[in-house]
Amino acid sequence: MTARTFVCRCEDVTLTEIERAIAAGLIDVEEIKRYTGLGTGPCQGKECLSALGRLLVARNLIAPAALRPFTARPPVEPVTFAALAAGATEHPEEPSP
Amino acid sequence: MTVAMGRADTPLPADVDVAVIGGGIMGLGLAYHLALLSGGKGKPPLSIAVIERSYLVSGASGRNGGGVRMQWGDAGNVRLMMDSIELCKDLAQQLGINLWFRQGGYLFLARTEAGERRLERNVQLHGEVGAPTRLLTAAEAQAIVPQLDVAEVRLATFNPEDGVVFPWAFVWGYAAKAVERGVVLRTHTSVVRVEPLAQGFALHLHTGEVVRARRVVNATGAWSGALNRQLGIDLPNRPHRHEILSSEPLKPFLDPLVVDLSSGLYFSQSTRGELVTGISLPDAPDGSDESLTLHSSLRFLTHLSATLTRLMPITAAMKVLRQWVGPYDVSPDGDAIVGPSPGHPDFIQVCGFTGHGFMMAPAVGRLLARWLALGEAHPMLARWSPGRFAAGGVARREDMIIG
Amino acid sequence: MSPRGAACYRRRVPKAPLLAPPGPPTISFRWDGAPVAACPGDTVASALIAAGELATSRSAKYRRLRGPACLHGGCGTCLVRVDGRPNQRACLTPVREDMCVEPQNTYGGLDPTALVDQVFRRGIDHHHLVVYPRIANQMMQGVARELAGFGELPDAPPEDVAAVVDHAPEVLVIGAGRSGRALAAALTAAGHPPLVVERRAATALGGSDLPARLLAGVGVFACYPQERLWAAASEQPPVLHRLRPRHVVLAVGAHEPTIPLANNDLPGVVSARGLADMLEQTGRKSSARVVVIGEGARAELLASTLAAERVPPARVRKLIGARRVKGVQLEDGKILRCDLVALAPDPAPAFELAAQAGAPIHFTGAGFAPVVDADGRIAAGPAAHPLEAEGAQTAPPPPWTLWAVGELAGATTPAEIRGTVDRCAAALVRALAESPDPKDSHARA
Ligand SMILES: Cc1cc2nc3c(=O)[nH]c(=O)nc-3n(C[C@H](O)[C@H](O)[C@H](O)COP(=O)(O)OP(=O)(O)OC[C@H]3O[C@@H](n4cnc5c(N)ncnc54)[C@H](O)[C@@H]3O)c2cc1C
Ligand code: FES
Repeated sequence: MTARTFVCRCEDVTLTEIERAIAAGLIDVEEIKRYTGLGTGPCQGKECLSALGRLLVARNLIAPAALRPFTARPPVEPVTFAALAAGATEHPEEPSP
Repeated sequence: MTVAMGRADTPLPADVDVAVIGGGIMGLGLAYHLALLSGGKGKPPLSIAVIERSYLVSGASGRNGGGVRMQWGDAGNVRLMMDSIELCKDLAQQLGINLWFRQGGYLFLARTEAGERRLERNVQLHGEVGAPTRLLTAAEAQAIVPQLDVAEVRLATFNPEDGVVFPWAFVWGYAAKAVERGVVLRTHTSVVRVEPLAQGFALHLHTGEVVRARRVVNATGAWSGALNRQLGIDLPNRPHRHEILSSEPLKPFLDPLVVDLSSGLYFSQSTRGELVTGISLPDAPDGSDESLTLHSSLRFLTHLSATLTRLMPITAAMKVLRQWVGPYDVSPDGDAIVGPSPGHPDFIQVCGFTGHGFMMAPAVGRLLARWLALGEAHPMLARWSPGRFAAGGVARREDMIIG
Repeated sequence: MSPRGAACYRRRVPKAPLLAPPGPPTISFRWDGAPVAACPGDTVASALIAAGELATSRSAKYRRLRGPACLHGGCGTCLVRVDGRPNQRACLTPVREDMCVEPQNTYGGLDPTALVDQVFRRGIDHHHLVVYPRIANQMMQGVARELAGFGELPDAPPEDVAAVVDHAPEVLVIGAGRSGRALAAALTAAGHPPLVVERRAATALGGSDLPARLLAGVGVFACYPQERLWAAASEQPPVLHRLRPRHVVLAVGAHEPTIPLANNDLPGVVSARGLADMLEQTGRKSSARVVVIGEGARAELLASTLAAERVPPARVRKLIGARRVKGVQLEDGKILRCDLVALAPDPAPAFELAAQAGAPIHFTGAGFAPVVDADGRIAAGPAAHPLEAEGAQTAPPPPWTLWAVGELAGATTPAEIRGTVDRCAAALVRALAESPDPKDSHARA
């Protein structure tokens, strides 16, 4: 039944696909994210990342203390190019010290 | 079908013929081609190991825009990329993995007179070399991408053979096939010290292990300087952070990758439907190894958004989903740094590919492997020689570097 | 005809309503070409669920019907087209008279799920799907490209002029949920009214305890420690907010992760917490049969709020239904018929902004969270990226102090949430007294 058990609905990643990645030797969340696509859709991992973490811990693939999330890339929620464009200066300012 | 993407616990032999440091597209593309040639023509098989500090696709090879083009400003690069694109056409079948190579073309836009002249020169040159690039008016460019605001566009070029790929799968594909042919791939392991021996080198790993290699390839891209300095090799390539983003995925609306020459803005649509786009920040400082930071910035987002929404107004109502950063490995004359290092001929560089190493990797891997395994020369190797900087006065040939 | 066009003219069979309105509906909008009645407090998602319309799109790969699930802005499967703008979150979009809401990626009601299930019984391995021969590979890629992507290009660029606003509040509170509001009230009482930023629209917030300085409908989307600011934006009108606070309190709560069960993606499988909150905000009453899946006191509480039967995940074999969930099949074969399945997992703290701000992050057993002290203070510095060169220049420490309250600070029950708020408010007031703002924060904001 794992072929239609979804861990990440945005990118249609099923338990079967996670298991395939694990079988291929991947246990790092960054690697599993890239190989399966998990966490790269509209929710950016809000629904699936912790589910993946629990799964890896439950299967003893990683110690809870060693588990880290994948990078929480900005933006944490989608933002329009229109709003962002408003913040541009003609010559982008130097990053503050 | 199982995949072999390297493991942190792969046993490493104590001695190898070739050790490749860095499991990006350069390191793995080379290892794959070396393994194909190994043992051929009555030669004994080569033992090859690839050592990667992190997971595969953690470096620039996992952070790039996936653009592949033959539209360059210099004949050597055009020919090289014609080879690379030819290789890409059936590479998915050779590597047994989907690469999502889509030839939607590259559309270059010129908004200045200088840009116009560059594009005219390119088309002439490409014609001589045999690349099917054509000049377009602003209206013709708009026929290819109807959403463009071409009011400021003076001239455009289009090459239908150019395209985009899904970069990660190249790396996994090369890795799996290299491993299938006997290459040892160790991930999550860094080379912390390179010790020259009478014959070859000893590589000291962070795990305490030592691997001796007759020849070593430095394929660590933006991180290559640290290893080079240990051997007193002084090369001028420097890391430089380059930002990029992808939008929410939409149904297909954009076929080519579009480049605006004036601003350095580029954007394409991935197979998944995301707009993948980057831009050069005019005043981004050149880094040294020590300043290679990989933080994202709002400054990039706002500057890119302003430029993009001006050129392609409909994007104003689209949304950014994710931004990230990767390192360019910038070579001062725009040419890569490939071949034996000054003073250490058995320490071989394959670095300095700035923002275009991914697309060149299929051709580079093959030509470098032929040189390493068979001693076969290639015109680009002379040009890319790491020794050229010591001789001084290197001319910049290429002016079509983006980002 | 375009897939969208086709959908607009489809005749649709009205579904049985699932949630009763608090009063007579006064708003009517179009869903997939047909009118739907709604009440002023509704979001598009609450109105659609109330009307029994559970599916809003098809998934990219398996072509499965999908609909609103978390009801909380966090999952991304309620994306609909609203008045020509793609990918609007139905659960965050307030209803407006006459708005035109359309499903996405559905191709006019074609139902390929059964076919996909038949052909790809064991799932789809997109890396190794139809690699050979080259010609078939190219065809497959063309088809995949057409099927991918949520929504089509917007009809037009936004009409409103975009703007940028700078703020330099003494205290910035991110989130106007229970903990954010309580904290804002405590700080205001102590003479330090904070600026509160909340991504939900003001109309969707309800309650009488709204903070005085509230930016509603504005989502904080990132912390950029190197640029020493926090960034937030609204979509309509498009406004970018740059925030340079002295103290930041993260009151961002938690996500409701999925529970891996067979068919857990069916339309009608929602978050129990999201559903309970939605009923509270809209004043609607559930007339649906609901089964809650979850374990522990929190799940128990949610089940009683929703007047639902509760089963632990371990007892569930699969969820059943084709175009929407119809029931829960238990391991012993028994089937619990229902209209909605409400998942009640242990919530996963919304750690993302804290991580961007450089907070150390740990795994709590349920999800990831920043490390906080007893007062909710987070010791955050700009963390070096793991791939950065050793000795990479790290930026100076950020100019703000970072705090967390509520679920992000590890609280789960209302009493615990209240505790984190009280301790954080007391510590913050002390900190503010020790180093008063050199400038008048109101004038700067
Ligand atoms: C944002 C961005 C966009 C780009 N867009 C394009 C594009 O559209 N088209 C294109 O062709 N190119 C593009 N590029 C450039 C392209 O990505 C690079 O040129 C190419 O990936 C370089 O490959 P590499 O294998 O040399 O480097 P990398 O992929 O960086 O590989 C180097 C590897 O070495 C490892 N390493 C480092 N030090 C050690 C050590 N001591 N021990 C062991 N391992 C070590 C690293 O972990 C890394 O994996 C882009 C680059 C960036 C950053
Ligand atoms: S994001 Fe709207 S239901 Fe989850």
